Amino acid sequence: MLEPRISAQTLKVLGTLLSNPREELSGAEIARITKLASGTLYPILLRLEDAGWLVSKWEVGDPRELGRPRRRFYRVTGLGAKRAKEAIRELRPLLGGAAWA
Amino acid sequence: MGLIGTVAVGVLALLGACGSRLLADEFKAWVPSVVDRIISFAVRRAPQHLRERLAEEWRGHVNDTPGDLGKLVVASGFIWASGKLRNQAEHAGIERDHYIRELDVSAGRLRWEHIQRVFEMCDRNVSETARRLKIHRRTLQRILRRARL
Repeated sequence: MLEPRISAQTLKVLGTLLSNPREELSGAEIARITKLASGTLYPILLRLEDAGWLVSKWEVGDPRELGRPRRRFYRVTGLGAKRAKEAIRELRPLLGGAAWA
Repeated sequence: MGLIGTVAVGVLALLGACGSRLLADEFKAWVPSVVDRIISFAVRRAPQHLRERLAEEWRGHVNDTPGDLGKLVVASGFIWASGKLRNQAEHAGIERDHYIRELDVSAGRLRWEHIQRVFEMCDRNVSETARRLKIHRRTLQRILRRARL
């Protein structure tokens, strides 16, 4: 498993997931909170998932019953939380102190 | 002249309003189909193993995005995302191949070191070494010949 590259956008995504009390967020919700473009967000989400920092699961329910496509929810794993906190601690001086650090 | 000009401007304004309304309606009607085509195109560009998942996930994302223009912008972003995901997958494949090659080399080296150790332990007796290693004598000879021992 490859360690994901830590960028400001990656930290934004991790910080959003870590600071969210519901813990699980869909891609659209993460995009809305982080203001990241869809083209930037999904490569980050999938890279973090590949590295085991995030896990994702489908919304419960049948799309036909829901009347819309299912959402996929993302959650930070224990490993992801640990690594993210380490990265945030290291980068805090550069980021100027983040609320979710 | 003043009256004619005023009437002309009024008519033009009316036509403009009707035209823009028509264009807006046309745009609204076309957006879902255009968005769907853009997502399909983006999904086709994504790595094979992610296509099914992304097709539903991205349609869900667009569904949660307010405004027709917003939906178009988000859907267009998926084209960029799919290109990046393909690059990531190719890069991961190269890394994985490299890792497997390294493992192969390590396994080969371990095997060779074990053969050498047993060979020395058996006072360089090929038959005895082959018996202990549970391989055919000729196989061992071939391995040793290749290593010029």
